[in-house]
Amino acid sequence: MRVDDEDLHVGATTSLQELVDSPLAYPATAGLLPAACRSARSAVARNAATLAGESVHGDPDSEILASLLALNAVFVDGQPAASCLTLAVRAQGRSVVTIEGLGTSGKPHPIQTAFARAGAVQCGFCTPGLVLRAKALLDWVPRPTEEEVRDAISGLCRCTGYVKPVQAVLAAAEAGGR
Amino acid sequence: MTLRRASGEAPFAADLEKPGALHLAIRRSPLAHGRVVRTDGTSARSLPGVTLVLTPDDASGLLDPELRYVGDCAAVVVAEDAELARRRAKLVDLEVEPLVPVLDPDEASVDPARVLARVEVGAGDPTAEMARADRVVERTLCLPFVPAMSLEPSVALTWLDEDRRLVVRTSAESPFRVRGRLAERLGLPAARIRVARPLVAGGAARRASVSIEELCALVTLRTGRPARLALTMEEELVTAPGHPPQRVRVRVGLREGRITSLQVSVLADLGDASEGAEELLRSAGRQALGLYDVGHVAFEARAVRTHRPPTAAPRGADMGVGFALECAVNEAARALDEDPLAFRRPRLPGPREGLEGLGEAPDSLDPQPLALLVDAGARGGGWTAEAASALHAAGSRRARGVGLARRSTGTAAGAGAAASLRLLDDGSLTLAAAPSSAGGADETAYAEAAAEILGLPLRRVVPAAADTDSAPFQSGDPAPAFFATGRAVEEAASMMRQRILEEGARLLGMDPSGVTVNEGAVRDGAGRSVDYAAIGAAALRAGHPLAVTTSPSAVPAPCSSALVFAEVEVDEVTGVVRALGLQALLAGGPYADPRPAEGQAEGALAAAVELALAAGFSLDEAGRPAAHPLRHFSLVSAGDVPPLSVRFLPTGEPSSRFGAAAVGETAARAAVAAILGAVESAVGGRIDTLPATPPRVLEALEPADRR
Repeated sequence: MRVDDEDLHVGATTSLQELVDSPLAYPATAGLLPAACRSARSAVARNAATLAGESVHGDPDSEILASLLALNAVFVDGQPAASCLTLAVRAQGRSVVTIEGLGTSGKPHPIQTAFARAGAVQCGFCTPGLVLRAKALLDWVPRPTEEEVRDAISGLCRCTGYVKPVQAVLAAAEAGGR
Repeated sequence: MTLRRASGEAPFAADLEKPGALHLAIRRSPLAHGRVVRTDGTSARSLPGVTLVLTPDDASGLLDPELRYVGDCAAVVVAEDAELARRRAKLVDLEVEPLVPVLDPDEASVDPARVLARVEVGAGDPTAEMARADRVVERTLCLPFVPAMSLEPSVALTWLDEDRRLVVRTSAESPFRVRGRLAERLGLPAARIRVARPLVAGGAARRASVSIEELCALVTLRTGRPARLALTMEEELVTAPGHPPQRVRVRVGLREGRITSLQVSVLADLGDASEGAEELLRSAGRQALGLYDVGHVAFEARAVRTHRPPTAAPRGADMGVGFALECAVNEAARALDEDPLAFRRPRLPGPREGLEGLGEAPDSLDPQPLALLVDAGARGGGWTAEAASALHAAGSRRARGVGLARRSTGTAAGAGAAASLRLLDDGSLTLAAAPSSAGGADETAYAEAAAEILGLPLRRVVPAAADTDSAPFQSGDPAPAFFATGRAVEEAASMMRQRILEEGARLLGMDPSGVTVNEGAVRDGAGRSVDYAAIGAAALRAGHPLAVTTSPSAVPAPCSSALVFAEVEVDEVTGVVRALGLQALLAGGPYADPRPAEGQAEGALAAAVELALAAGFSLDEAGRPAAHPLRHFSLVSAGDVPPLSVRFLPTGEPSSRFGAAAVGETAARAAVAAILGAVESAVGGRIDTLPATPPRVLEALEPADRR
């Protein structure tokens, strides 16, 4: 989606997450959101936003918080950002891509396909966050080392032990799939 | 399904909302033990946006005036908006009379009212044999409370449907169990309740005792409006059930280089939990005593209730005993200057009697898989005594450790799962299977199994949502769920295949023995065929739609066994431990698709690094979290996880695609012992309390010449 000036009838502290989350509350944006983006209320983004919102004033150093922030990654003009910490006004005039904008189950992004192939999706709760983080990495470093991949997706997943997600990102890089 | 998860399309409970829903927030107990003498919701209720305040006075069936742990539910505020509800909850005027909390499990263990279960079994004469021992190795190990720490918060949403039936969507694992409890607590007929479950992420057991569904349901019944409650991460950490703290004492009697006697005593603090205590203790005994062939054994275990949050069984709450035993065996090997792997080889279990009290005596555990694991481990890759001693000889801070674990799930395993299949008139099938475990890939595995048995492409088998209206009734949470549900699916698919074959034969005018099923059609020898769509349509028209529901009887799940090697490096100055590698050998397979079993094992090894080195938090003397849990709870991150290697060793047992029972729990408990063993080898001293934090590691550090 593209956030234009007249769409932003929002408060000074409205976060990007709230904007993406509630197109009905911000009717001016609703018409602009492409179908895929309108459903940008992904489980991951929303939960992390709520949780991070709860605790962010309390604790900027928390490892848990860092994990949660990584879960609700979005791209603002191609740069990864935590949707719950990005003020909506900062997204003015910029393009915002959420996991739904990256690919769908019918037309998946190559990174998503690589995740499915590698068996890297277990419960699936953090997978969108992992995929967006991987996308951000591959945009900057098309052929990352394993260590770079680990750095990029650190602190997110409670199911996989990271073996298969790392394999998936490396495979996607190998195939040039960014 | 996998791609729907990877693209964020698959909804979790937190994604579900209802327009016009009321939001609940819980006012939690500040004390570990107290009695609510007065609640005044007036100031909260009088503010705009607040609909309802529930206190023990007006919700007596659900809210207990006695508060039993810090974070227990004292009152509930219901508002038009979740944030508003949370803010208003703080304004409820709560007067709590402090009562003396029991936080010390030893103190609880002498109060019969606080002892939840006690298990004592034995074989031979351990006291006499221990007295004859050349050497006795004794260890007492303490495991902390470890919160389950799933990233998904608990969320419940309730509303009344067009027929004024109560509908509940919740992240609980077992919809039927939630329905049963709601019916009981709210005094509603079960038929008036429908429980539907979206995807569930993360741990299973932690969902078991949170009554967020009951609170939401009460609000919906009182107001007629949808109600939603989502716990915050801090609430999850402080109140969600985790691993019970345990203290395990192990005495290993050695005579002529062999383990001849064993005494194990356990004290487990289950907090405010009340269910499952006895099975937890029996299971702990089975897991540990099935490991070694010792003629003289005493096992004594107690579980107590204290004023701390409830506990449950993420990744096997019974792991303490097996872990402690492995630590003691490692120490025995060290005391005798023997290679820890070779030391284990001749001591694998054989038949014996006297331990029937554990539910399933360890003599029914086949020793074969363990022997295979140890031999394969000794043959290479995993461990060599030379490599291990070379590390030591160099005076290095690197060291290796080994841990063995086996997990038997008991005779009740496999019961309580069910599957149903329906053939539709377009030739596709819907599959409802319950329960499906957390961890995700299972639904796809069930659909794949059914598709393979029925000779169909995967997309023609559609998994149905877990819903008490449409899913087959399933009586509980069988462990291991993957094994039990998988068997139900295989059985249902085989029965469905037979029904399709018979119906196809009838349409072709043939005897069933003269036709075959393949590629989505029933065929005779003469080249004639009738496809599934035609069969499904004909059956529907004839008034006998093809549907199969099955709930297989209980069979013991295969016992799972794991051998894990760990290599660590210890920084002598800071005490920081870095895991350098973990290798797991697991009995099982070969699997058509090894990825789900591998993924479970890899996840468990990563969790073991966390359990061994970082996880857990303690309560202060007032029963409050000793440190801010959000700040001080450490998560294992991708960078902390060492290279992992997982290998499966076929044991020759008939293995179905669902044979990988409890792989994760087994690997985790072996790995925690292996990691601690490696750390102790590196520092020379004992570490008796998990996790092995830098201060504990430094305290155990012996001078280089004494290691």
